[in-house]
Amino acid sequence: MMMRRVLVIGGLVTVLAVATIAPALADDLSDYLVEADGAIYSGRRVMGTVWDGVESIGMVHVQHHAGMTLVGTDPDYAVIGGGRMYSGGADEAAVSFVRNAHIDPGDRYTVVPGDATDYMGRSARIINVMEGSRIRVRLIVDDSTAAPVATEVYGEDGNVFRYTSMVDFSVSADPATHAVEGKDFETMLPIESGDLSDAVAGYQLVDMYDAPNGSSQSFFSDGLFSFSLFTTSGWTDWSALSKNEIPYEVDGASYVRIIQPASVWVMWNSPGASMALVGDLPPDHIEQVLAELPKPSTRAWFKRIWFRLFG
Amino acid sequence: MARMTPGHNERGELFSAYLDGELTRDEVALVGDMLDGDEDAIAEFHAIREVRATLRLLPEFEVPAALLPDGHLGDRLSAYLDGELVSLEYRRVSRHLVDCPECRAELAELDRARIAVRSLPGVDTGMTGEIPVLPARKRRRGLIAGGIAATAAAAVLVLGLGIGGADAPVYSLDDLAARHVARASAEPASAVLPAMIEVSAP
Repeated sequence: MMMRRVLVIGGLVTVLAVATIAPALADDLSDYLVEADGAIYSGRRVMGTVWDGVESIGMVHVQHHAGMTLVGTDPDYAVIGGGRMYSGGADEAAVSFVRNAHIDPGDRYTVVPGDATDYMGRSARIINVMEGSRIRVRLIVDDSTAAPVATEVYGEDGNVFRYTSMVDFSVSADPATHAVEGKDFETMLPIESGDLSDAVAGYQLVDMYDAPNGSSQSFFSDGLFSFSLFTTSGWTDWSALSKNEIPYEVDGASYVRIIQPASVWVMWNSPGASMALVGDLPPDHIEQVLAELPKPSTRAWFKRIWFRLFG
Repeated sequence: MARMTPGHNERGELFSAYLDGELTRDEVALVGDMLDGDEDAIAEFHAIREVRATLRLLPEFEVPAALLPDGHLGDRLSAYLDGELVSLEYRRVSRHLVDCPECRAELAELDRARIAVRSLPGVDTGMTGEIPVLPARKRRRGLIAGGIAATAAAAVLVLGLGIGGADAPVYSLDDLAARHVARASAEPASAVLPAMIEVSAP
C-alpha cells in the first residue's frame, strides 16, 4: 500500500510563518522550478482563487512524474507538461506546442529562503518569491521530493489571491509519461506575431499561434506567471457566456471576468476585435496588462444592446 | 496478493527504473510498498534520487553539430511530430527548436505534409477486398480537455463570434483554456503554479 497521509487544510495557516529575509541569487527561482518539475509525487490537490470576495475552489487527483502531471483518474484524465496535453477518455485528444523562447523569472523575481517547517508530517521549507520588496508567492516545498506541496499567490493588497495545497501526499506516482508517448499530437507551431507589442506590463510576448476559427493565441510570460490572449476579428457577445460572469472595471473601462480555481478570464470587445485573456496572473498584474492592451470599445456596447434586442 | 521482496541490488535497480518511469503498474505498487515505512528503503530511494537530481542540474551539452545532419535534427523531427520521442529527448528537441529557425521551418513543412497525407481520400483500385483508408485528421480542438471537463461539457460555453447569426463561427472557452494550459505547461513555472483544472469554464 502506498504511503499516504492526510492533512488538515487549516493547518496550512499555522505553517506559514513570517520568513527571515536574506538576499538570494537571482536565478534561484529557476533552480526551484527545475527541481519542482522533476519531483515525483501523487495525491490530491485543492486549489482556489479569491478575487473581490468571490472564491472559486476545486480539487483534483494529481500524479507528477518526469515533468508530466497526470490530472484526474482513468478514464477521465489529462496528462500535461512540456508544452503537451493529452486527454484520455471517449474524447481522446492531444496537442503539442512548439515554443519560441524561454523567459527567465530572475528578471523580475527574487527568492528569499524562509524557515524550515513541517507539512503533513514531512519536513519542508518555505520559499518566498519577492517582486521588488513585496512578497508575491510563498511556496512550501517538500524536502525529500522537492514537490511544491502548498503555494500562495499574493495580490498587491497583501491578501492571498490564489492557493494550492496537497491534502494527501505520496512519494510515489504512476509514470504519467507513459500515457503520452506514442500518441498522435496536433502540433502547434509559432506564427509571425501581429500588431501586439513584444512586451506588455513586464510580460514578454513569447510566441503566437493560430487558434480556432481564425483567432490567434498570443502567449505572454514573465517567467513565473503567464497568460494567453485570444484575439479574433469582429464582435463577441460575451454576456451570452455564463451566468457566472462578473463585471470588471479598470480605469473606467468595462470588461467581464470569470474566476476559476487556478486562473481567471477577462473578456472584452475592442474596436474591430474580440479579446479574451486567460492566465494565472494576480489582479494588479491584470490591471497593468489591460492598461497596455486595446481598450473596450463603446461601440460594442451598442452592438451588445442590438444583439440582445434582435439577436 | 503477496508480492516478492527484492534483494538490495534489485531494489536499487527497481528504484532507478521507477525514477525513469519504466515500471509497470504492479512494479510501481511494489515500490510503494517498499517505501511504506521501511527506513532503509526510503534512505536508499532518496540517495538514488538525489544523485539523479544532481546529475540533472549539471549543464546539458547539446549533441555536437557534427553528429547531426547539417547540425540539425533531421529525421528526429518526424519522431517528434509522431510523439515517438521519450520525454528527455522530447525536451532536448524542444530546446533545439527554440533556437533553430531552420528546424522550426522544417518541422512546419513536415507537419503540413503530414496533414496533407492524412487528408487524402482512400484510393479505389478496383480490386476486391478491403483497402486501408488513411484516416482524416481528427478535429480535436473542442475536445482537448474533454476528460477533465466532463462535468462542464454540458455547460453552454459556445461563443458566437462576429455579430451573431447562424453562420457565425463558434468556439468554446474549454478549447481555449486547454490551449493555454498546454502552452503554459512548457514553462518551468507550471510546476509550482499548476493550472490544470480549469480546462472548463463555469
